[in-house]
Amino acid sequence: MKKIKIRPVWLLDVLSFSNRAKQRKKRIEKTKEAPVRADYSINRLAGELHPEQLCLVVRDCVSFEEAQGTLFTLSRKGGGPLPVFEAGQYLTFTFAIGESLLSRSYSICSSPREAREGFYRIYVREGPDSFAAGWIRKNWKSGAELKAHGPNGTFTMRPLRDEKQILALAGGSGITPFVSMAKAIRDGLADFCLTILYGARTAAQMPFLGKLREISEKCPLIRVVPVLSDVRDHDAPDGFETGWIGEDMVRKYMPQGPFSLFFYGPRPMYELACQTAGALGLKRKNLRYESFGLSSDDKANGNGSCRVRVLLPDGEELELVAQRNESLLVAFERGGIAVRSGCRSGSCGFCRCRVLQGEYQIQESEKARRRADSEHSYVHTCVCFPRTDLCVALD
Amino acid sequence: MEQLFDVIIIGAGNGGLAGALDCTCAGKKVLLLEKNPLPGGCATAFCRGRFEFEASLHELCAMGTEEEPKSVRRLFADTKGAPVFYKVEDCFRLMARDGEGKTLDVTLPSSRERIFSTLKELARDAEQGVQDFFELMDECAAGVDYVNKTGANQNKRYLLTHFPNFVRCGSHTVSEVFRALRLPPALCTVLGAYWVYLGVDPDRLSFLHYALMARQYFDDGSYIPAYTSYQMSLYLLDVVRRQGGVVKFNTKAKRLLVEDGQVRGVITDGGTYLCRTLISDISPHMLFGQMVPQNLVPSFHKKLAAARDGKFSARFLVLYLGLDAPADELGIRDYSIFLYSDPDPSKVYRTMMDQNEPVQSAVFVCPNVVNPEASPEGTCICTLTAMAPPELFEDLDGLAYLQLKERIAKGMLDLLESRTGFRLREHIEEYELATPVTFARYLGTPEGAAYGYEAQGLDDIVTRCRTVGEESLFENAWQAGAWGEFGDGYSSAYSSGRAAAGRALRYLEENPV
Repeated sequence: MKKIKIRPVWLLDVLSFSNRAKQRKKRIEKTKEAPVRADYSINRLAGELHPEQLCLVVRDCVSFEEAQGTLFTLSRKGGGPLPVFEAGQYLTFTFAIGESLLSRSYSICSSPREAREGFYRIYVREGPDSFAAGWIRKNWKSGAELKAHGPNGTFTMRPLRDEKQILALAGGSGITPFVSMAKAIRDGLADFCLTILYGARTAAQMPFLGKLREISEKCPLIRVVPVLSDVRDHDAPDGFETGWIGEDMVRKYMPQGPFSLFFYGPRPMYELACQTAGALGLKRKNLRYESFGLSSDDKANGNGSCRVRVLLPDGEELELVAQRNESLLVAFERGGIAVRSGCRSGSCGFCRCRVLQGEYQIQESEKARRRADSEHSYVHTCVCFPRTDLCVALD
Repeated sequence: MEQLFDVIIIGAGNGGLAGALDCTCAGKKVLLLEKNPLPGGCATAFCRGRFEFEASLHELCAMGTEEEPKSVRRLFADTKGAPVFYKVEDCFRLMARDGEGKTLDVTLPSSRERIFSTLKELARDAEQGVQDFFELMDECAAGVDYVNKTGANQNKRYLLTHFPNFVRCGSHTVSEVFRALRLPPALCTVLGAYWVYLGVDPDRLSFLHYALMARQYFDDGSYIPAYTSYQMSLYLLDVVRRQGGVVKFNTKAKRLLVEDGQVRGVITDGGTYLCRTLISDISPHMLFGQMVPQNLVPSFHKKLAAARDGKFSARFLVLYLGLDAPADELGIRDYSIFLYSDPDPSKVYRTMMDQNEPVQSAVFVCPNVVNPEASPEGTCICTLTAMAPPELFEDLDGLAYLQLKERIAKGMLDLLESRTGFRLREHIEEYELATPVTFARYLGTPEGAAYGYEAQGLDDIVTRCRTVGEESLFENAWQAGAWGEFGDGYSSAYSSGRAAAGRALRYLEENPV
């Protein structure tokens, strides 16, 4: 090969090549010693938005007896702004009830702007078999200190994906993320049209109706239609619809032009929403739902119990009894094993563990497991049901 | 009584995993600490709806073939659970706009012969230049090999007689060498385009560094795993465990126990562990800045950190798209397209780093083109990656940040659609945008840097490789990963992890209990 000449005197190249290490050393030697900097604005912002844990204090709680729910206002212990969030996201609380270590997630129903002003609001409703919610309503009083993770979640309006018009179907306490979205629109933080079909058994079970009506009166982008399922047509007050929120109701109120259907509510309503989306020919991308609460048990997996041997991260080992129709996560919680969880529907991945031995079933409807996790038998315990005795390891 | 380990490794990224692999293979008692619930660092994946997105990997080099595996493929040699790899046939397609609105549109294939004919078509008088270019890269590879083998004992005369061009080019930048080779402008554009994978533009990037990395990429092409890089991370984790390594997730290393210039242990939020040696797969800035009292940081490293003056390498914006139509239906035929705003790659870099300019250049990747398993049938995944000026994200409040993210995502989608003609908008079923803040959150690197220190000037890779032997973090602690001597990239991070393991093993042998 010919000589490649870069500088006229090529000896200079040779010198600078062989001197590079020396030059580096010299430059470092000459630099003045200083403390190593580890504080950066970008990292600070990441920490503010996603703290490892939030210590919150109950500032205020309002009970709605007929709706069997309580609205909590939470602020940061010691005060100050809270991490902002995207309307539709949730917080996950960890707490102990007796021997059990639980975590539960609740959608935030205040505005993202209010987080900066120092508070979140969440609404906790007590269902027929909601052990934790009942306990929370009794025990979280003004001044109580809470531990939480988040905000998290992907049930949010995304401008590049969703249509500019959203039709929201909310069942009971499933209204909460939409309350937050309405407030975000009101506060100028989001720009889309939101029509909410707000379903509940009776008007007294709609603790957010007054607030939503107040917002929609001032903000033409928001419309709210209350729908009562336990009230007959001629008994319904003015401005209320009656019956179930199904295809007919959706057709009556759906926006003109393209729209996305957002849904949050109990399972029967979810199935109706999916049917409706199918009947309307909506594309898959235009049907979005918050899934937590959709899958807490699996009757199909049969009765009976299994033994679960759990290898803990610190090398300890213990054995639990798990019901076949309850998720592994529930068995862990009952057994007092601290497992962080979030969505409780198989998507966020916080509650994962590794199954070393035994058979299990993953709830088919909710699968967002990385394929390599499947290969290596990592499961999301919230949607994993034991079929035989198991041995599992927590990382 | 705290447990004593031969080696503690902080961080289960590519460097940490590869280091743990070698240390456990040598029969050492190893503890691998990871703050996240998952292994991999950058080598990970995340799910949205029915899509599983690769977080970072574009192209895996140093693979060789199944018959003749090279260093990276050899890491995955154990057949139990080894990933399936798909070959990426072309290096990249480059679409570079010039000032007159014309676009240079070239697809660079892999393998030397095919590159030759592509480049000859591009510039008819280029034959000699291209030949010289490849011969020079070969000589550089051989020269570096000789220098690495001989270390401090290299024979200067032998070097000069056998690798004269290597020595002449050794201290010059890519642009300087391209000029000396008299490469026509179009060829400088195409060959220089590769710089993005090294994070430094050709005007400042060392030619040697470029030659070592680009040569194997051009010659051998690259690969991607069937189930994302997370599959590689889990595989390595599995081998480490089978070899007896102890791995603790959700365990953040908080403080080092330092005594007489040696690391004696690591304090984590889950307890204290003692060690005889340490491998760090996290940035030296965070290790020395957060985990060691300043009076115990070696003077050399305080000076080095100051001399580096916050010159971290690339910070990224990545737009991940899950689309509800197959790639061919959307007209997507290429695995990767470099969309450049200028024929001059260094100008592309400067525009990217200007906070007053919206994103104008980016790298597009569609894994479905080579990997039929990249997403469910009837869908495809596309990602668009650009470099971000860090100033854009400084002193932002949370709400402003969330709004900026959406603006950037829209800008990147606009760029992608307008440059390629793809109509993607109505097919977006899922999307996410990762910013330097996202990287800072998961990786904990300063300013969310993903490529380690900028590989130029003080931190030119070739220089670092020559000085790394004298720059251990502590007497018994060494650097792995993108912050190590080989810089960024999967193969480089694996290599520096293994090199760190080699140093730890040597130390343990020379300093028996």
